[in-house]
Amino acid sequence: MMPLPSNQSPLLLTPTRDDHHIAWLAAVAILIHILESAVPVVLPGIKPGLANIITITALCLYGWHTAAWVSLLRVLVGSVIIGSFLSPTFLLSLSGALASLAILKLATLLPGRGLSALGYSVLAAMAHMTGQFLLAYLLFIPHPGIWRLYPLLMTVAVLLGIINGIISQRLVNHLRR
Amino acid sequence: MTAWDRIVIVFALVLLPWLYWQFWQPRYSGETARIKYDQQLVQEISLTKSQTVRVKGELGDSIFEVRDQQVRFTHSPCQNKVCIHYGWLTHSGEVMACIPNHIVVEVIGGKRVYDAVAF
Repeated sequence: MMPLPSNQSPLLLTPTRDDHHIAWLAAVAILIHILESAVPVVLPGIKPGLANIITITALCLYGWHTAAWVSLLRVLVGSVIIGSFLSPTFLLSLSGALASLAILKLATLLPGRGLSALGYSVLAAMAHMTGQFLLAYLLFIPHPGIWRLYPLLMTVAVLLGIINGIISQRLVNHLRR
Repeated sequence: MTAWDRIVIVFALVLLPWLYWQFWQPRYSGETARIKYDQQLVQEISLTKSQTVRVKGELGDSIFEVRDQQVRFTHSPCQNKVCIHYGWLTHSGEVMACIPNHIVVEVIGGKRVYDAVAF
């Protein structure tokens, strides 16, 4: 190893506990994202969105700030690894992530006991789909015809949101113990 | 499951039927076909009277047939004739194109807001 020049002190970064949480959860989310991209698409526009389980889990365990980091890191790093960075796929992924983070931020402000993983997941899934549709409509297919697909894909989004929410809730219960 | 969770689920279950109702209304026959060449409007043809229309494109003339509130490509100078095989357009909002010839056809209008209008 080269010794450092004497006039330069090594830059020391002390990772906080939050940094560790974000790094671990983002790593898992990225892994799921990549594995999922290898699964063939049965119906265009429909993906299980299993990586979102990690976002919801992060939200329930550590709050919105961590969830936002995990979600955006997943979209960014996942796309760089898959090779879709800045492609339409990436933009759709990003718009979905931003829309669901926005709705999750609002959902965390609810009074009382607020939402559990299930409610968060359903809301996030619907926001995700809506964000993607808006982007697709504004950027790629500016024809009102695509909105005919919207009810169908929203139905699937709600169903997958419920399934992912249940998985996420179990994961949260497990990790809290 | 918290009370808010139930509210979210109920909201989703109410929203979904509303979306189907909102976006899956029956489509109405259009009244007019807009023909564009290189994104420029060339001709607006009425679908209510049977006619044959000729429009100049990049490669040559595309010929349309209009009958029974429908429009289709009948002749095209392009190679694969995808436009002709596409068949008839009738609903408002439908689009077909002959990409090699730079021609796009869109059906517009025809959504009836009133049952009848009296003067």
